[in-house]
Amino acid sequence: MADELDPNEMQNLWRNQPVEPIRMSAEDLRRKAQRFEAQLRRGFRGLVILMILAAAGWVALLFLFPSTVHRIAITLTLAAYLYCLWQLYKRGSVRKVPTDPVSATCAAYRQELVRHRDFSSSAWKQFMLPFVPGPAVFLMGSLVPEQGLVKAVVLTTALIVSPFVFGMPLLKKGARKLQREIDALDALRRP
Amino acid sequence: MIDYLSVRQKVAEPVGNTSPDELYEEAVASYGAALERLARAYESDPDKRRDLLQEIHLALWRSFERFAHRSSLRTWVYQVAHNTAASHVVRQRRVHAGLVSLEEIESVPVRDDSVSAAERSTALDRLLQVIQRLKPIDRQVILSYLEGMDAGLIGEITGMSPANVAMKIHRIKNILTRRFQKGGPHGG
Repeated sequence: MADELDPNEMQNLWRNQPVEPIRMSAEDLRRKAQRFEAQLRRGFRGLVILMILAAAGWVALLFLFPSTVHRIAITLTLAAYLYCLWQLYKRGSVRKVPTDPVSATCAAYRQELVRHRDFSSSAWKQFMLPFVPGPAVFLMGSLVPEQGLVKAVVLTTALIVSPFVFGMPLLKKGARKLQREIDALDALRRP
Repeated sequence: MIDYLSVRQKVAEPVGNTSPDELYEEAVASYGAALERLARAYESDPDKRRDLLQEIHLALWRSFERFAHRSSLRTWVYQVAHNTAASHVVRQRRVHAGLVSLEEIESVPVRDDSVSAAERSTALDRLLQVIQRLKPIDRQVILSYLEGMDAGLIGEITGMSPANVAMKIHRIKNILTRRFQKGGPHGG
């Protein structure tokens, strides 16, 4: 019987399915909104603490590697952490739930896709590139005296470039996929 | 510091003659069951579905601060619910990767080897399986169609052109007919 439904009967089947809609009072929702806000704040703080701990690890290296080159490298890396913290702060300040008037779903969905695409396109600049100079100088400072300039350059380049070689194509692929989805949405909105 | 959600601490101010809290109550009384069905179509995992449903209720409740009666309550409720659910799908990137459009699902032949699995499931389960494979916008159209909305209202909610909505509804009917037709592969 269920296999013989036509599209109109399908509408009845859908609308008559058993459901148990949740009942939430305005007070429940107020509490939930506050909990959600606290949860976001905790998540942000957790990330900041992790970054501070990682930066503290680099500071500790100052005592193990007191040479000028290493100090410069560590300072550059700490500057990278500061820059990333600033980026996180800026992103954190973006409202998690849109507060502008509700837009039609295509527009809202497009906005979300654009946000994700932009993040995929620019993540390497904002969260990977800043960590190149410090570790590069650090590696060169450590490798040149032991391996010679040429080997040091080759090793440093390999170590620094490899995350980009593997990470960037993935990010770009993701951005392209999102762009295709955005283009498809734009086509739907055209009369 | 961080400009997170601006949580309403005070009792909500009235919008027109009705306060946001009253609008929320009215919306839930009229469309609560539809919201549950919508959440079911967007999330198969029961725990995540409950979270999504609560998220939709939260978004809806917050949205009534800005409801200015420029659209009907029904349109507003569905826009907020679908927008929240679509964001949920985008966040679930792994799931999102395998989603297809109506056009793609229409061109996929109904496989005979799925008969044994399909036989065990009800028509409703199978309908949900089809819906949950769709991209958010197509999912919204099929859900709105199943809820009995016409092309005009679906266009208003989605922002799609009426021609596109009509075309998608035509495709939906084709897909449903093919997958549930008497004597079809699922029908045995």
